Amino acid sequence: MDRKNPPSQEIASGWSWAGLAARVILGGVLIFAGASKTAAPVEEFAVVIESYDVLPTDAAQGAAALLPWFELALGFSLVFGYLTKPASAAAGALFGAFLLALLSTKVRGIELPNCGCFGASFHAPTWVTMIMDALLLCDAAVAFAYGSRRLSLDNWADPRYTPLHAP
Amino acid sequence: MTRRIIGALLVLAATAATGLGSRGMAGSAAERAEPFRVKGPPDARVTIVEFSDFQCPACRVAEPPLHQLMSLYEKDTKLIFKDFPLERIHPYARAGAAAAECAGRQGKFWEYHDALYERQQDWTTEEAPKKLEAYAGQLKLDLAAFKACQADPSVQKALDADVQEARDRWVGSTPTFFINGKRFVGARQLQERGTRWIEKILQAKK
Repeated sequence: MDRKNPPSQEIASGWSWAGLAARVILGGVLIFAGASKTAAPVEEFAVVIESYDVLPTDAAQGAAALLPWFELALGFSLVFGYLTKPASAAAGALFGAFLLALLSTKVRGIELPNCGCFGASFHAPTWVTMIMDALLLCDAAVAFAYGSRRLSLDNWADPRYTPLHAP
Repeated sequence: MTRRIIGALLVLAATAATGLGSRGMAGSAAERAEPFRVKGPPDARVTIVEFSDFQCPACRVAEPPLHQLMSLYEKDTKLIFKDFPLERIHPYARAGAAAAECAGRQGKFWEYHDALYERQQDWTTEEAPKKLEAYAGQLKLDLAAFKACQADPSVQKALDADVQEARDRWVGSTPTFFINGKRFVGARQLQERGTRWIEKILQAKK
């Protein structure tokens, strides 16, 4: 018999794999979202941000220019497992803010022609987008808690950063 | 520490490569168009190229600010209208565009254009062919020529050329305006940023 409490180790190992999957899925979604927006002219994404009616036109233009790059950087941070906890927290904040923006359009009765999630390639009803967003928020929480334990640059840079099994 | 820096560089390099690599070659719009689709002085210092869809509500909403802009800078601005019917979501847009092209061939493009936007909810139904013909009658067009024109393959070819140009210019939404090459999407961008841009052009060219 192993004296090191094998069931808890197995559970920890399971969560570490779940964390890896959550991190890669979240990162992949963000990379796809960012790349589909950087592919198109900034004004195309700006007009979608304007349709939420939460930012003035100039601010929407600025957000449309910066947000896709931020999504790409976050996405690659997560896929590579670099600064996993801050990146997961930032991704969670991003999805949380997006969820609030969607809710506010529902409350104000604004019909969105496009959620702006993945450029012009994704058209879904607002409620579908909200469910998807809520799932990604949960995914960010799992990535935050367990994401850096396996195959991450965080572990490679400093193995003590997030040991697989706590002493 | 070195490994941390390598990690940061890896993330930055992947971000830059993906962001820059995914960028399309979106350029400005050409100023070629049938003369009946051009409004304003030929030597105007400001050229607005509009890609629009007659069935699109956002295009109808953009009409008043566009008219305001055109009358505010009447002597300095010309407008070129190009079709970009979004057929996937607007099934009657192409029929409307073809009808406007045929009205244009009889010298009434802008009158027909205005009628299509003003009565957008009226004709964008299954009765579109009947309504489009009725508008032609109200504008006193030659109805036999109008009908023959609608069946003329050169009309579809002209529309296809506009659609192809819109795709080449990476136009994803309607209405999209190019003011001396700079892109503005939707009524709000046209009204707020477009006006400032026109002022800038006119001041620079004084």
